Amino acid sequence: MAAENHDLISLVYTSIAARDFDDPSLRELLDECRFKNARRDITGMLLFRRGRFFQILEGPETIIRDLMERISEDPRHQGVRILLDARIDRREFPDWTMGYRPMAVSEVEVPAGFRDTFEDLDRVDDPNVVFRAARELSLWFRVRVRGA
Amino acid sequence: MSAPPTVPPAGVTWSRIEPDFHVASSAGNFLGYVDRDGNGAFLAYDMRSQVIGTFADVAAAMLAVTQAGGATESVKLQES
Repeated sequence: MAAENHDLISLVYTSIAARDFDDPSLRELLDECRFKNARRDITGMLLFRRGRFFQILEGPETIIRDLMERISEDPRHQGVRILLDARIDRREFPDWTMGYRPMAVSEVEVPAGFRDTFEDLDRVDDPNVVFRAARELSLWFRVRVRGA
Repeated sequence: MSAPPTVPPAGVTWSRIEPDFHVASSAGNFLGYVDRDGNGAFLAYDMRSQVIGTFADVAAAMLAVTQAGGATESVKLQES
């Protein structure tokens, strides 16, 4: 990768889709992301579940911050909220200009005593819980890619 | 799917991401996870994402993850 390690950041955000995203719309968005990201040294992953985006962006700080600003102003996104913003020594998704895997959605309530990772993303009062939830989603993606 | 245990072990946080994908952590540290394979068996993985064992039910797989996260010795495998 072109970026020096000291310049790398990882930025994680969540947002609500401003309109319905069916499979073709999502594919179009992914194609657009991957094309642009490949030219800008950006890697990461995207999840889309029940009308909500969860995205991890990795790359040179100035480029990632510029992209995040544009995402915040993108009419396809509402309620953009940055969950994590940190310097990193190495990328978690070096081979993915924007990784994506469809996610199974359960209609069954999470059993008592267990956490719902997606609900934990909304725990703005507890950064540790949000951090854990984001790490869990990152893990899930890497496991699914490995098993593909 | 078989039901997960109703009460997680003390000090361990279990999170569900997908219907058959559960992640364990303790005091902010990742312990491991349980996933289901195409045959319906539950695979337990440790904190390095190494397979601990294959189990017939999710509760046994979760226990294996918990024990592996807190023990220095490998847990006994219970093949399904």
